[in-house]
Amino acid sequence: MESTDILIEGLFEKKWFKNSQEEIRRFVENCEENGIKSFLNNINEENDFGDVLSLQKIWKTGRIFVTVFQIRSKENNQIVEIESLNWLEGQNPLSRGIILIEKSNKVTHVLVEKKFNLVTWRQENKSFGIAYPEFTNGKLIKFPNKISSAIPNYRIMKFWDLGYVFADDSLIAGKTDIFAASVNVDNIEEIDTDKVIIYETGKIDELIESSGDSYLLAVISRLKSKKII
Amino acid sequence: MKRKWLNNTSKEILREIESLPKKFETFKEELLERQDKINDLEVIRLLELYYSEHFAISIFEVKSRDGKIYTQEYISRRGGQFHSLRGIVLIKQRGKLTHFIVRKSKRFGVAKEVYESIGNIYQPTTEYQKDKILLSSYIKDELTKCLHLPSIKIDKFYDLGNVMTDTSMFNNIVRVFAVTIDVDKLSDVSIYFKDKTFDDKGYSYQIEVVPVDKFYEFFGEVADSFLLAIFGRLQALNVIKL
Repeated sequence: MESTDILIEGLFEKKWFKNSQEEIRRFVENCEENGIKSFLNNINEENDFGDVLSLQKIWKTGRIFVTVFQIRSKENNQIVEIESLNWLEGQNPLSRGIILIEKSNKVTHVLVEKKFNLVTWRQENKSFGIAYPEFTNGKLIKFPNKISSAIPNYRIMKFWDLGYVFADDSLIAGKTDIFAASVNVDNIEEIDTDKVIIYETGKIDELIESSGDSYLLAVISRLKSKKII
Repeated sequence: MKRKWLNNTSKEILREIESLPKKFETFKEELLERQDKINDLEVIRLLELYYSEHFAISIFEVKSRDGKIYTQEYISRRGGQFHSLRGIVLIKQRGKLTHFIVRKSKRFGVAKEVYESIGNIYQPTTEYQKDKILLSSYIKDELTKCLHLPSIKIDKFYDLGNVMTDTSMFNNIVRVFAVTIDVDKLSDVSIYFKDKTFDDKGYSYQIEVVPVDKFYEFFGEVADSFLLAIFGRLQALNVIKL
């Protein structure tokens, strides 16, 4: 990520930033998070929708920030306000993915996280979230503790960077990286089924039908489109 | 019965809840129904409430089983948890699946032109949600408007269930669906949107017809999580056989 000075300099080159109220400009300059400044730096004076006139509002909580821009539509010259949300880091700090069990170069099982969901109020099967994956020479070397403790004696065989998805592009500006990793395990019976749900690959359709996690479904669709599963 | 967390919430925040604009009515009802205990967490009070044009952010003070006190926040759409429907249209010609219809939209937030599912179609009333025939007829009317067609004849309707946007951040649940329409020739429908740009939703978009033999390529690249979810569910139901 670029330095704070370069990011602020970049903002002052933008007409829409200069047209924004002093209070807003000061808020942006004083923001500790470079994710906010990076996001704003990527907002051009003009886009396919229209001309960006000013940043009308910006505020943040402990995890996200909200922006409201004033834009003049190219189609009808009307001035509209467009709002969007983003993570403070400028994108989802968690990469989301699933783990495949491989035996003799063949994927035999799919592992997903078992977690109580505060939205549906029930146990859900969902994708794993990894904050800072550790790579050495382009290879994922280990999972975070919460995953490692549930899958004893594993060896990571392959890692697939599956790109990114937009969780809801009508409102959330930041992207979420998605991945899959395959592992070898000594004994599948040792996996902690209180934390992880195991699906045989032949029964993956049951997982697709029962899970409501958009990231999990996106990962499976990408794996299928790449013919990995 | 009034929740304990409401009793602990400051008068200032309670006033803010009360004065939420009318369009936040469903959000407000859902907020006030939140229990004092959610999973292992004891909900102490609502600390902060922000709202904007389309959504609200609620920040609660909570207590874990081991006595730690911290905050939990989530974002809600103003229309509540079950806000909208998103879908895809599959085109059949002489009974054979040949194409699918999606949108290509210029989205400001993501600063990109993106392929996405068709929507947002607002959730119909509860009565319509429960009855698949009513739901299908509601979607037929809404799709006609979304696709800018004079009329549409749905051959099959697939209710593909619910998808959660991002449970770490949102409490939003989107219902996803697919429909098939049978046409004699592609131009019967494409004539109404080919090379046209629409801007009736507050952003400009085009309606795109993609041949089914591009399924792999398309879903390997598309970034809309709802489209990918729809694709996965259609495969699981064997509607799309690859």
